[in-house]
Parts: sequence; structure tokens; C-alpha cells
Amino acid sequence: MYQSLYRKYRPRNFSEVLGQNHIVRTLKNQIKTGRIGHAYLFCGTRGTGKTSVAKIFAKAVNCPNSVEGEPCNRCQICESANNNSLIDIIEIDAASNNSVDDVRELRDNIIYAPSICKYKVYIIDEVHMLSGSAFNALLKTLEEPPSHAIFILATTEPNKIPATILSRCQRFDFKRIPSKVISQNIGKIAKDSNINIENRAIAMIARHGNGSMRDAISILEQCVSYNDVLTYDDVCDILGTVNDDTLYTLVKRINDRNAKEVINQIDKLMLYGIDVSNLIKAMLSFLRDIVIYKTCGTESEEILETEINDKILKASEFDMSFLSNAIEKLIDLQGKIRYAQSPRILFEITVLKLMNPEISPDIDSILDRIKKLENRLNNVKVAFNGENDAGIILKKDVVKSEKGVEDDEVDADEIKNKHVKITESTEKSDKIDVNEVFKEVLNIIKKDRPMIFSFLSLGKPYLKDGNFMIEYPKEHEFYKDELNKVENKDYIKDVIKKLTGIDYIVNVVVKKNENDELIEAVKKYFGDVEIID
Amino acid sequence: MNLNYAEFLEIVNKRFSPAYVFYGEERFLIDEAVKRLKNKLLTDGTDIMNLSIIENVDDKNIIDSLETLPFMSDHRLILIKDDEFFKKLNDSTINNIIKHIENGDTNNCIAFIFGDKIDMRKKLFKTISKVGAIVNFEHLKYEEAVNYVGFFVRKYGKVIKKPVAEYIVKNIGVDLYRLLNEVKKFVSYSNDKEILLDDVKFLISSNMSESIFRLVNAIGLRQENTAIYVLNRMIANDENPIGILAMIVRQFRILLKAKYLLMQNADRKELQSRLGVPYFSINDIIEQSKRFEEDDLIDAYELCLKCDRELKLSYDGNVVLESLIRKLCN
Repeated sequence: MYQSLYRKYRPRNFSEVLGQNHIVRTLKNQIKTGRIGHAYLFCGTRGTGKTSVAKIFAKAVNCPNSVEGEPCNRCQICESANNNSLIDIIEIDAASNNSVDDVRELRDNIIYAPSICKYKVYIIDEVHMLSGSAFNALLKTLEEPPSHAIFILATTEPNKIPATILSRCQRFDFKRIPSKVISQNIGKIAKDSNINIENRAIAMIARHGNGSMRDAISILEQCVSYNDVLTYDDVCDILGTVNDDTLYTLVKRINDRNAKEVINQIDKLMLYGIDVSNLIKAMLSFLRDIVIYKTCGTESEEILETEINDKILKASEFDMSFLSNAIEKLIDLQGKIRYAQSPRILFEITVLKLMNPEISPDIDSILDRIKKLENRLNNVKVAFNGENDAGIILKKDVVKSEKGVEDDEVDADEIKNKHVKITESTEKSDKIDVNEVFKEVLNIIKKDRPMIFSFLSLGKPYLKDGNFMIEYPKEHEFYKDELNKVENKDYIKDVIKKLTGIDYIVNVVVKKNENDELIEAVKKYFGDVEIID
Repeated sequence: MNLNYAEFLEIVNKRFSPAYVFYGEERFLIDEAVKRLKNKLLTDGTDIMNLSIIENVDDKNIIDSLETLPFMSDHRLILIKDDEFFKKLNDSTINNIIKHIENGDTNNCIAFIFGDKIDMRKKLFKTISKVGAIVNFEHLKYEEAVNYVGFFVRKYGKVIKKPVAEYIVKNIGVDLYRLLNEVKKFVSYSNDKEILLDDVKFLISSNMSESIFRLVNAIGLRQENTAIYVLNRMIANDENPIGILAMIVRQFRILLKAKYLLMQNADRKELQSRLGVPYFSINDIIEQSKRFEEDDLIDAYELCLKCDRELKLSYDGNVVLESLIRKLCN
């Protein structure tokens, strides 16, 4: 009877488990030292070895001849465990037995001692599917299990499991298997089953496995009957994906705005029978690889879990704003495409929009256009600067030759300079920061005439038509009157003059409230008229 | 008497009480306390006969077991573990129990275990607090949990340095059962006498909260590559993209609030109480809010909204989030 590859190559002892060394080592040590817990939780994505490790562990704790924590796979117990016929290893699929009654049945049976083994091992797969009350029923058993029972809960979604259960289990996180490890194993299996396959094709399969060994092996199995010698292109065909070379050319043509070629290429790909949404997906992941490589550099291999190939290296010359615009558009397209009547047209239009940002008015395209403009401007600038430099050199030469003549004019120049300085200083005074000046003024007055200081410090200074205004709110009108006395006003004026060198007219006023201001404005406009409320 | 665990340990061996209440989230210590109580009240050999555990109360079974006499021993212990105790029993039964407790009968000792907070105004608890003991088992403080990690490790005959223990507590939290289970893993993993930080980092169960804070902090500091790195690790760990987005939005909400509060010259204390974030993260938040202009923060909301829509139209999670992060950081 034909057995599918992933069942045939399911690991039978700990050393065959790949990519989970930390878990295997811990479990083996626990068996060796006899520190076996009574509840384990295995979590991780599909195909990372949860069920396999659970089965091996169940076998190993019961195997009488286990060496260094490994099951012997020869004794009666190991053999019947391998045939799934051992009655003390109970596998429960929680997805289909998820009710309270199922858990109650388990509770009723668990008190009986194991029949031939040392431990009764319950493997509960997909445990997150249990109902809420089933979890509660299970919790009571997990809290005080009989000493001969071991629970192994396996799940892909640990976040769906109640915290009360989590806290009672030893939790092991199964990591995604690195694609290098998958490649090695696929290579081994292929050799073992006499499958001729290119190394590049193996890498492609491993990448598509996405960290899951079972997925990768399934893909291999799918490919086996395709051709005598499996090549990279064959695998791409079967997976319906587009290879990196094609993607690179496509993206490059889009970047170069070679619309004719792009449409031609898309047409070819369609003829080839490639699905539009697959193509978009492939393009997106290719663009993403480039962007991540551009931002993260060397760390990107770890993030992407693949090696950076020469295509990505080459593609990293593309401009970031182009890339992110393209990603943005394609993401958008990916969402729309499933409702589209004719996905191909939608795709072509999007690609055209990418090439001619003029068509679409959204912000990303505009940014893209600005970027392009800036580049062109820079080019122009560079050219222009070159000219300028030449001009300056020329001028200098002229200056040198004319130096003799200019000597007479030096005096005049000096005078001019002085003049400039003078105007500058007056200009400066206009631009004085009133608040700064006011602070200084206050500092001086504080020592001199503390009385005036205390009045003045509440005011708010500003400049108006060259007058130094000090403003008070209505309720402080008293201060205004006091400061408006001639001797005080003159004193302030002197201090300001001493400080800034400018003869300001000092005016102390009361801030008008809005109504007054309005009335004044009206009066200004209509002349002095009587206003009736 | 209302006590904590330490105070309970002091009195438990000194005298007998007719009733105890243990409540709180720290199940490990509650179980320890029950063990102490058993040791104190029951003698070896007859402990099965004299211990009754009631997990599903009704009007009959509690009174029945209260009226049973101890067998070949001075005491009986009745454990009641039912959070719906007050819903299931009628008033007369509860009054009977109260009467029994008031009698000061230490032959039949009754212990209630509740997972949640209890209502101290209830007459039952008032009575017990008069003649017995009510013990609160709330979650431990950080330092206490670190000490417990050291204690667990020593129990298994190994040693651990304090920074390593702190790392474990930071990642796992203060729940003692979880800590104990993690420690069991580390103890089995290392072949040496000491538990090393590298082993722990490798083996520790991934904890959502730590990495999500690393992610949002990286975004707040506009460190694009760290943010993308952390994001991909989280997605590889099957974190839900919508959940991640929710945390990013939360961060920007906090930053925006902080920005406004800082404009009004609020001090740290006020910031903390108004933002509702822990005090140690205030510095980070101030630092981060300086890196964004007010307009940037409001734009960030728009971007998050767009991203939310895209995620819910089931676009590819990590591509959408990556492009969001790229925009937020630049």
C-alpha cells in the first residue's frame, strides 16, 4: 500500500526531529532524570513537529530499554506504539471531541492505572477547539491528575487557551523550521526515494514550505510524478508561481516605464497559465524582499528566512518611493481583485498607473512624481553650478586685471560700507525683540525705582508706529494713570534710550475689550456718529 | 482576621480555627496554604477519611459533611471550591453554616477557596473574619516572584544568577505556577549546574507583551529596521495582525495625549495619572512624543485607520503592517 511521503518519513525517535533541538534536548533530559511533568503544552504552526514529538515522547517515557531518553523502537511497547495500537497512549482529536461529555469520559477513565505501560499518556490534538466548559472540566483533572497520567496538549493557537490551563502546563514553543534545514531533509528524502531533483528546485520547495516540514514534503510529493528530472522551472510551474528572474525583469521594466514590454510580458505570463492573483502575490513578496533588504541590510536574511539572491541585490537599486508606491498599489489591488470580473484588466491598469503616475491623483503617485522632478531638478542644478563656477573664475580674472584702476575708488567704497552699516543698525533697532528689551528695562528699574518696577512688571509691551506701547488689562487701569505721570514716563523713556539708543515715545494704555474695539472700528469707518444699541 | 500569606503562615501552627477563606489569583500559594492546613489538621493514614472536597455545592452536601464526625482523628477538613457558592445555596443553608462556624467547632474545619475577589459585606465573611481567618492571595510583587524563581531552581539542585531570574519574571509574569513550569524546563535543559541566560532566552515561551512593547517603542523612536524585525518575529509567532495594529494605535493615542499635556507643562506625576501608563515608561513616552510633531501624530491616526480597513478586508497582514510602519517611521 502506498503511504504518503510525510507519513513515511515521520520521525520515529528524537534524533530524527529536525529544527527543534531545544525542545528535544529538554524532553530527553527529563526522561533521563525522571523529572517528567504531568502536563505539557506544545504549540507552533502546522508541520513543525508537535504531534510527532508528542508521539515520540509518549513512546519514550514508556519504553523499558530507553537509552539516553531515546525510545529503542524494537521492544513490544515501541512497536505497538508505532502501529497506533497501544491502549495506554490515548490520542484524542479535540476538534471532533470538543464537548464536556468527552472530557468527562476522559476524567472517568483516567483514574484507572495503565494496563501494560508505566504511564498513561493522553495526547490531545488541536486542544484550542475544546468548548469553554470542556476546558473547565479538563482543568480540574489537570490540577490534580493521578501520578500515572501524562497530558500532552498540542495546538496551533495557544492564545485561545485559557490562562488557567496555560499556567498548569509546561509550555514548549515549536519554532518554524529554517528553510535550510527543510532543504537538507527534502534532499535526503529525494535521494532515498530515487527522485532526481535540482538543488535550486529543492530550495524553492523548502521556501514554499514556509517553515513547515509537512507542507514542503507534500509539495515534493506533488512534484514527483511530473518529470523524470525535476528542474527549478518545473517546480515553479507546478506551484504556479513566477520565478525571481521574471519578476525582476517585470519590475525593472515598470521602473523604466517601458509600457509596451510590460504589457507584452504580462500577456506571455497569462498565456503560460499563471493566475493573476498568484502573480500579484509573487510580485508583492519580491518587492517586500527588496524593501526589507534595503532597510535592514544584513539582518534581512534572518527576517526573510531565505538567502538574498543576486536578483534582490540587483533590484535594490530601485528607488524607495517607487517601491513603496508599487507595494501600496498592489496591496490595494490584491484586495479588489477577488471581486473583479476580469482581474487581468484590473492588473494591467494598475501596472500602467504605476508607470504613468499622471493618470492617478493619489498622494503616493504624486510623491513619486515629485521625486522624479527633484531628480531632474538636481541634474539641472548640477549642470548650472558647473556653469556658474566657470563664470566666477572668469570674473576673478577680470578683477585681477582691473585692480590697478580700482585703487582710486577704494575710499568711495569704504564710505559706502559705512553707510550700509548705519542703515543696518537702524534696521536692527526696528527688529528688536520688544520683550527682551522690556525685560532689560525692568531689570534696571528694579534696582533704581522699585515702585515703578512693580507697576511696570504687570504690563505687556509692544511696538506700534515706532511708539513703545505698554498695555494693561482693564482692571489695572490704576497703574496706567500712575505711569502716565510725566516724570515717570520720562524716566522710563530715558532707561529705554540708554539701553537701545533709540528715542521712543512711551505710551501706556489700557487694553480695550472687544466691544470697544468694534465700536472704534465703526467710528473710524462712519465718522463720529452716535451708536444706538 | 484579614491576613496575607506570610501572616497566615505565622498563625496556622499556633491555633485551630473553625473556618478559613482563601481567595485571590495566586493559585500556587493557595495550594501551598491548603497543604499546610492539611498537615496541621490531619494525621497520616486517616487523611483520606477526614478530608472532603466539595466542588459542586448544594443545600445538602455541606451541612452533611459538617455534621460528620472525624474518624480516628481530632479534626476533619472540608474544602469548598465553588465560585458560584452564593448563587447555588439558599439563605437558610448559609445561615446554618454561619451558626456552625460561630459555635467555634474546630473538629470540623471548613475552608473556602475563591478565585475572585470576595464581598466582605456578606455575613458569612464577617463571621469568619471574627472567629477564623480570611487570607488574601493576590499576585506577587516583582521582587518576590524573582525570589521564588531562585527558590524553585534551588529546589531542583541548580543555581541561577539574579539577573537571569529577573529576565524570566519579566518575560513570564508573576504567576507562580507558570514560573514553576518554566523553571522545570530550564532545569531539564541545562546540563550544567547553573542556569544560563542564553539557555533561558532560547527556551522561554514567547511572550506577546514584551515584544509588542519593543515594537511600539521602536516605532516611537522611528527605528524602522528594528520595528520591522520585531514585527516579523511576532508574525512568525502567529500573533494576530489586528491585535498588533491595536497596540500601535494605542501607542499613538498615548503619544498624542502626552504631547498635549506637555504643551500645558504637565509634570511626570500628572502625565502618569492622566495617561494611565506605568511610571517607568513615562520617560520613554516623553522622549518619543518629542520625535513627532502634532500633525504627524494626527496623520498617524489616518494611516492606522487605513491599515485597519485593509487588514479587515483580509489583505496580507505583514505586508500591510510593514508598509504602515515604513510610513510611520519616515
